[in-house]
Amino acid sequence: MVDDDRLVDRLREVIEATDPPPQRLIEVAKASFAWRTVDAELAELISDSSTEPALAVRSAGEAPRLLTFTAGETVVVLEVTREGGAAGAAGEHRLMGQIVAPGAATVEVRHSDGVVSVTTDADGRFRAAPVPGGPISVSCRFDDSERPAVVTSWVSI
Amino acid sequence: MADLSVSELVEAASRGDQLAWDRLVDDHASLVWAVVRSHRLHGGDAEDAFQSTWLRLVENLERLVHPDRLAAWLVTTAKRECLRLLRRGGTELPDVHIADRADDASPPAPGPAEALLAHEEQVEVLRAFQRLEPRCQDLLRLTVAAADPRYTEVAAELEMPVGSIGPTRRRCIEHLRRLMHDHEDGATDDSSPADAHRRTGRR
Repeated sequence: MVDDDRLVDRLREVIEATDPPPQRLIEVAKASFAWRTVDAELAELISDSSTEPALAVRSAGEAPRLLTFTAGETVVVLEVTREGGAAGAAGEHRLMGQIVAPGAATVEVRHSDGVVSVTTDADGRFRAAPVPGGPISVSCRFDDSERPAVVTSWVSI
Repeated sequence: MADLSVSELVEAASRGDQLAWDRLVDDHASLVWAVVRSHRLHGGDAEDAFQSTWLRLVENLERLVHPDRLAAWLVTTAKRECLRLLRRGGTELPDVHIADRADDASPPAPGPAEALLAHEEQVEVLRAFQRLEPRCQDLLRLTVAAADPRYTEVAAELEMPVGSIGPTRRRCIEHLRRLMHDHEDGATDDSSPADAHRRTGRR
């Protein structure tokens, strides 16, 4: 057993030396701390059309992906469409959204390269493009200051 | 900062302390990466899973029930992110329970990886590890990282059947040891020149 422990320690050294996490990714992970949002309610992902088998088959074309998040009384629905077809350049995406209950808000789409800031119409609808592929999160700050801000959980598009 | 416990670091980070966060990332990056690798994710998918795991932690920092067991939380979260990506890509999940197929694993040529290792013994471990069947490589990658003395109780959190991970892991380690022995005895059909690692193993 002691021998096993020694071999396991050696193997750990070997794996850490030959396949370490890329330094660039470590820097990205450190930078992601800037996305900490303490003054908003977290809206959890409750449905994702891309993980529903029946829909996934039907959307073999380029049907938009539907993501639904909820926090308390607020529902945020995102519709994600890949721009430029399946072979599009490194995946630019078009994002349309709807907030329920509707309300005028400033929406920030946070993604790996920065932030896209847009405002909703009076019915809580918004659109943003282009957004690069990878993790995104959407924060909604309502014009009605009584209504708590909402930020969606991160999701990869 | 140096002598803060994990839960103290989590607490400091949830108050907005960037340095505490950096420390958490530095201390656990290898572990999260090992989980990602053990799911055979590469390129953009591997980056995605790694990055998503840390973003998940950012959004849940204040909500961790057991901050002292952060390593376990990260393992579980990274696994979930990997499975999510694999499911979305329609990729076949790596099956950790298929029968041993050691003979399929062809001995890899000495690669640049060996040049990263300082000791002869490490080179031998690497060569044997690379000749293990992928299933064993995946399992060892994960359990070896999780068995790091820095992370307590992580192994218990791995969502693998308790009855199977023990014996399977032991079999993989025995196999690894056997491959190393074969190499020492020269009783292997390894076609690489016996002294190849001596030339490539040092800078």
